[in-house]
Amino acid sequence: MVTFVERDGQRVTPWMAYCIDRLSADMHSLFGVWVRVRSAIRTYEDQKRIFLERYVTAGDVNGRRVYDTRWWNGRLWYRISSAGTVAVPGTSNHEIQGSKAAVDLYDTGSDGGIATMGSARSNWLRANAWKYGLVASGFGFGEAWHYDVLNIFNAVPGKPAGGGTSTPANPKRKKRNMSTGVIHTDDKSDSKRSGAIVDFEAGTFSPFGWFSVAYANGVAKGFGLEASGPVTRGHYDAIKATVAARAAAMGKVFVDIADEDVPQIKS
Amino acid sequence: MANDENTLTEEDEAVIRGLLEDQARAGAERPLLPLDVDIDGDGIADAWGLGDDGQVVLVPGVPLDATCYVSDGDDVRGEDGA
Repeated sequence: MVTFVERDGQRVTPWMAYCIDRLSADMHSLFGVWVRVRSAIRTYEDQKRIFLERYVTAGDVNGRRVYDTRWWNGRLWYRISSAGTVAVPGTSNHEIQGSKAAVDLYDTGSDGGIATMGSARSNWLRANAWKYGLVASGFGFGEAWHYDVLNIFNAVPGKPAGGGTSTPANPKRKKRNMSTGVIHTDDKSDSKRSGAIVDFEAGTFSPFGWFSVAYANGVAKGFGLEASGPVTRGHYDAIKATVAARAAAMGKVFVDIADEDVPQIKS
Repeated sequence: MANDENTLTEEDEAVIRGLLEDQARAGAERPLLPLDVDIDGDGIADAWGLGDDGQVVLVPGVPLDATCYVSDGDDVRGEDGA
C-alpha cells in the first residue's frame, strides 16, 4: 500500500518528494531559487478533466486555432489550448506507469528558469536530472518543465518503503564525493569560455555554459569546492573524452549536452 | 486516413482541411497538424497535411517543429516564478 504525500499541493510518492527536495536544495545553493511542482501524479479522472479542458471534437472547434489532434474513444479530438499537449486518459505518464510517473516543475526565479527551454537553469537541470532520479522527457515535445521520476516506490532513506512523509525542504546534504570537480576553460584566445561539472566516478560531464570565472567559482562552491579549476580548451575536451570513456567502461550511456546548446552569458 | 479503430468523419476532414488552409494563408509553406503527439520524447509525430489535389492526407514521421504544434506552458509557471 503506497502512501501518497503532497508537494506544493500535488500528489507524489515519498520518494518523488525526496528527489524533488534534494533538487530544490541544490538549485537554491547554485542559483538561489526553489523548485516547485505544478502537476504530478494524476488519477484517470484527473487526466480526463485536463484533457477535456484542452481538447474538443470537430463540432466545437468553431474556427479556433488548433495545436494538435488525438484519437480517443474512436473520435478525433482537437487541442484548442496553447498551454500544452495532454495524453489521452489512461496513457499519460502523469498516471503511474510501472514504477515511474511524471512531474511538471518550475522554479521561483523571476526569469524563465527551469520551465523555459534554453534558459541556463533549464540547461543545467537537463544535464543533471539523472542525479535526482529524473529523466528530462519533455524536451522532444517542447515541454522543458516535464520530467519523469524513476523508481517512485523506492524507500526514502530513513523511512519505510512506500510510506512516511515528505522530507524537509533542506535535507542534510550528502558528503561531497571527492571525484567531483568543476572546471572552466581559460585560454586567452578562447572567446567561448566553457564550464562543466565533472564526476569521474559516476562518468558524467555536465557543461553549464559560457560564464565568467566568478560564476564558475560560484558553482564550485555550491559543490563544496574551493574554486573552479582553469584548464585549456584542449585539456577541457580531453577531460570530457576521459569521462566518456569512463562511462563506457562502466556500461553507462554518456549523456553530453553540447556546450553549444547552452547560452552564452557575458560577464 | 485512420487506423483500424479510428475513422475520420467527413466533418473531421472538413475541419482539418480548413485548419490547414488557414495555416497556408498565414504563410506556412507546408501546413501540418500533428496527430497523437508522442510522449517518448523524440519529437516526431504523424501529422495531417494536404495532398496535391487538396485532400487531407496523413504524413508520417514529422518533426514537431515543422508543424503548427505549440506548447507554451502558461499553466505551469507559478505566481512566484516566471
